[in-house]
Amino acid sequence: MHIDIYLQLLINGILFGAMYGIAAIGLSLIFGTMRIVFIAQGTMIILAAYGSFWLFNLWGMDPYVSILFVVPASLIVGIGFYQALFRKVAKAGQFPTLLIAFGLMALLENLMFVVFTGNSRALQTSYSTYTLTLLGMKISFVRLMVFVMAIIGTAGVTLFLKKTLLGKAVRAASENLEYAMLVGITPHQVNTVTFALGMGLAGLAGVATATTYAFDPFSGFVFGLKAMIALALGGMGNVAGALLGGILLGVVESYSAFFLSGGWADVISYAVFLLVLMFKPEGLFSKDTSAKL
Amino acid sequence: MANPLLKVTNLNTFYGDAQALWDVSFQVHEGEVFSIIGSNGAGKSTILRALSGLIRPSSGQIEFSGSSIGGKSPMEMVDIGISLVPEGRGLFSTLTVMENLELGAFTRRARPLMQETLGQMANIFPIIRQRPNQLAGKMSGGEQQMVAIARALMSKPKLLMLDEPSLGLAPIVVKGMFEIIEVLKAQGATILLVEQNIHQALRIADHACVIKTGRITMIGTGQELLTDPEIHKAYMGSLQ
Repeated sequence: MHIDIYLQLLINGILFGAMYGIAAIGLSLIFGTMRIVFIAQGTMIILAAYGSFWLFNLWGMDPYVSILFVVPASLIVGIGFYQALFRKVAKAGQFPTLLIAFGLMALLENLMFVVFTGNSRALQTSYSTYTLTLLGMKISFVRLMVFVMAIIGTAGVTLFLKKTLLGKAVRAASENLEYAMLVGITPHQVNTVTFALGMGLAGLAGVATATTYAFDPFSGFVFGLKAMIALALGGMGNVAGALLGGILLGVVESYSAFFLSGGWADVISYAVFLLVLMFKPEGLFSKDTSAKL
Repeated sequence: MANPLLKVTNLNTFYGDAQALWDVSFQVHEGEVFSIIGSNGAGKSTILRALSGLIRPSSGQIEFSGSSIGGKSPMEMVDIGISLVPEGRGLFSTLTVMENLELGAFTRRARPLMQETLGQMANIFPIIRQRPNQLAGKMSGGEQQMVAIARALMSKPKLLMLDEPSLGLAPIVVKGMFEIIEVLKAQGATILLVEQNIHQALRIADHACVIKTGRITMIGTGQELLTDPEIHKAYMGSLQ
């Protein structure tokens, strides 16, 4: 077989996986400070995808312009969810918060089903099928844009965490909440920030989904699972690692889908998930194992 | 004597059903070093945890600058001027020295003064100028202790509380650390010190108390306790 096909599959996988990466960063932030496994992340992404879809279909708004509305709206929804659902139980441990996240997921799925119907939707723009040719490789424009969004999203979050005092407080609280409280950081403050950021990233991933995939109200769960795999690959509390984990997952899926089948791609990605958890639970891209979790 | 900066009266705390502190009362005056000594598990750290808002006292009074502060949150305690360097130093090991210090000035009261306070800290602790970008977790224990004290001071505390600052440090480093405490005292800081290094802790203290199974058994000036035969027998036998 020609070497080009390997390269083409690699590029597809990288572009594909970047989206898992954006979702994984959101999960990582929320888990980092609150130890909440926010299983509804994927469903939030689908909700945001619907937002972008309807803005385009009803008002003809370009999906890349819709980012300006969908991301801030998701951020606000994130703050609302935290205040309404998680604020009181944030201290109660992982099981209650996991149940709440699960309930929220089921509620949103069924709400979307009633309001938007179960029909599969896809956002079709004039440039949806446009491809660039680079060194003999065909690159889908919308997929390339997903990758660009992932890079911008990751860079934005990284800058926030590294350069602002609030971002440093988020990192401090992820490392040790009690020590963070002793310097005057309140848990609710950092929790609100991370939830807002996590949902903002879900909004970005939603726009990315809308431009590249067909989706229905129940597509979110599998997406959320994939994000969790990406997170396990990349390592908790490691923003760049989460993006890399997503990209790696995308590449694994891309190769196994081509050489085996689409069904096998899922089998293999879940197997990789379990193998990483068994043999390198701190993640493949984690530098310092002692400091995480 | 003037009104005390900190006045603790009949403080009782519980961990679940187990009572950790029994009617603990003591006073700390402005500008003094007050040492709490005692063996492991006697309740020394519990007093500091109650004063920093990490645990709620079940009864008793805590007065600070004349107002009652019992039951406030850790954030409120830092904001009114009580700062704790916890046992084990409490640095964020994945953050740099500079980031740790900046977070020390997180409260609304301290934040506007951050740059100015950083300058003052760098004068006392040269390591801040030498290695501001080093990860705190990669430093030696003594260096971490210095950064931890500097971070607590970044909040502009009226009362600095140190929980076992000499724990796990080499003797020569311990000496340097007590010198820093003297420097801070000379600059007018009020310090509440919990120590197992009893000899050093009493020498530096204006006042001190001994705590045993959650009760204060002795209270006096550092000199009085240092020369007390009971204390010598119980805690310092090998240090003669």
